[in-house]
Amino acid sequence: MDTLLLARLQFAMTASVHFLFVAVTLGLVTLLVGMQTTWVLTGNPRWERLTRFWGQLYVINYVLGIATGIVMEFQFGLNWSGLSRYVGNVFGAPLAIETMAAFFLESTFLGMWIFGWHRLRRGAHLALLYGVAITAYVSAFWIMVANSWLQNPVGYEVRDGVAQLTDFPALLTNPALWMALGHVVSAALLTGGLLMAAVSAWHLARRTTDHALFRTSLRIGLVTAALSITLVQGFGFAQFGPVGGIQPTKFGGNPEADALIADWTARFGPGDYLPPALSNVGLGFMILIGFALGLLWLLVPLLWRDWIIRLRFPLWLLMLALPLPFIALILGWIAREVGRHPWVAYGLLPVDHAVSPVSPWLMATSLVGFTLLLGTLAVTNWVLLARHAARGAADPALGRPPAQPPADDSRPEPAFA
Amino acid sequence: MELAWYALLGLFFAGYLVLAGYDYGVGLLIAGGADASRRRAALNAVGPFFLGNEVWLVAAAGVLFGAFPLLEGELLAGSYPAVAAALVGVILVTAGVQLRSRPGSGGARTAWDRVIVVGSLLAALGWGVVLAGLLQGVPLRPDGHVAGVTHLFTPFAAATGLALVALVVAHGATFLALRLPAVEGDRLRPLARRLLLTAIVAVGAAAVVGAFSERYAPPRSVPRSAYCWWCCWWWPCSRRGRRSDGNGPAWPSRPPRRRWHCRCCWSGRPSGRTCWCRPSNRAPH
Repeated sequence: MDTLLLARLQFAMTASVHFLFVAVTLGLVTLLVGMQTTWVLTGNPRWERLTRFWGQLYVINYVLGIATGIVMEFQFGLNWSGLSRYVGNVFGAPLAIETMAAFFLESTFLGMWIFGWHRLRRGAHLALLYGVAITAYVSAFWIMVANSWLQNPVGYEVRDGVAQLTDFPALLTNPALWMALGHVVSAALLTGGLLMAAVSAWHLARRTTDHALFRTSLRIGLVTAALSITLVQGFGFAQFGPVGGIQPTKFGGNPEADALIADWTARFGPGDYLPPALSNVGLGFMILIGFALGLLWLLVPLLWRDWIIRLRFPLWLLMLALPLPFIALILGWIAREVGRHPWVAYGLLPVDHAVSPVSPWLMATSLVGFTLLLGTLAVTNWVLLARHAARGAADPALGRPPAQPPADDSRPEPAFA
Repeated sequence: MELAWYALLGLFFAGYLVLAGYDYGVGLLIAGGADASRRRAALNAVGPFFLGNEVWLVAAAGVLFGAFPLLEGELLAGSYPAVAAALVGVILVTAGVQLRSRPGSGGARTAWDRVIVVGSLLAALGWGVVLAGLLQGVPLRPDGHVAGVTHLFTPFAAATGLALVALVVAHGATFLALRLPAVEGDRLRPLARRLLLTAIVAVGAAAVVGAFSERYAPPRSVPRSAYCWWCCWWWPCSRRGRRSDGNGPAWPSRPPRRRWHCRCCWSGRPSGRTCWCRPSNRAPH
């Protein structure tokens, strides 16, 4: 067994599971902000119920986002101690900012938002949700800054065999950053919007109660998803130029890549400096999914006079489309991350120098353990999400007025625990 | 500036252990055969603080990575099994506390409660063993990396892990005694007192085990935080001389006449010995 391969598999597993949940978090919180703002401005109880129902799903989804995020964060030290040793001074800065200035606040605000229901004034409660949303975006921004530095190391200088940060603004003007950030954020919005549309479609197709409520969230979800798929496509294709420029080996052989490989062979010794073909196959599939989801625009005119609900089959189309953004998210990350193989930091630190010197058996145990744990939790979480979604908006636990006792227990039921 | 980063690291780690400590303590206490409504009341007492407590760990790891990348790599990879166990525990508690009532049937809740107990135990044990690894020092390979992970499997590490478990349980009981409604809280008060005594005994036992066990040569370049721990906590408990002079154990040691005072760790050592931390810093006391 090979420690390096096991460590890479573990990273791929954790990052994928993490991303499936954080994308939904980022997408849903944006829509929640809109719903709660409308509720506070209009005072219409329908918007309160929408906020509670979707907020409940958001909170359940958030649990796994944190759990996998903690593993992600510790994994850098556990499995990739060479990475933290060699480039930690540069790469660690945006990550530290992310955890302290963004995630720390995001989670604290979220706890206060959940438990502040009926305890805080409406304005303060809404401000907390704005805090959650803003810090979520700030978080995404700094993570992308860190990731872009690995894609295209800038603003550093190697002193005493360790990379030192010399030019902080260069991290923020990294050509690998902005288009990718737009791509990822709009993909998250697409996922959140499509999730909202698909769950609403299920309720409308099954003709459960709350027709008016799910009609509203179907419209919100579908329009969000349609707008963001266009953004996803735009930012996606806009990336080909800069990425091809800074990573000539990413999309296969070309004269520039050959020159670069000759240079690396001279500096790092002979080796296979081309990424595996698999990453580009995934990229092709992702683009296909992107085009397929572009057809969401065909459903938008059906919102007129509720034809989308009356015809019923568009509702089923929406439900069938739900897995697509998730698959595309994973394929996109594989293209971005595996596409720079064999480098952790492109052209600077090869993967075999970055992996921790731990025994393969330990790494294998950790891989199997974390895969089973996170896999089980992810499936459990999705089952719970599906159950809560199917239960409808009759009485979500989130934001339940304190005076109203639940049926089976005389104690007041808080949102969790 | 350097000092500020050390202070931040200490603040966030201490904050995590203090705040999430009672989460895990409460998590362990629900194993004690309480009925469903008591378990629920106990976890409800933690509920509003749970998310806010846990993020301190994430922030601490962020500081560790941002400001101490070298330490992070060696510390985490060098205590791999302990850190991994602690992480598994943290994840289990996170998932258990937040998901146990979603849609809550009795059976599902009981199952989640077991997950919370196991998770709390793993988290407390794991961080305890990491602390023990820091206290006893880590063996280094010639190239300067921490050698293997077997140094974590010592009686001292086990004793420290158990001591941390005892501490978090006592912490959790104290928290519940303060936080629960008066009737419930008063019921817990004697239990909290007993647990506090147990915790003190456990910490003492760990210190004694540590005093009588071998320790690894303190590393020069990596965990300075280990030095701090050593100074504040470990050294006062372990003033036993080494067998370096060949005359058998120096415990109980006679009071030395002349002492060397170390500027680095503020510890006095018997004359003729070098301070463990940095021989160049010795100065006559």
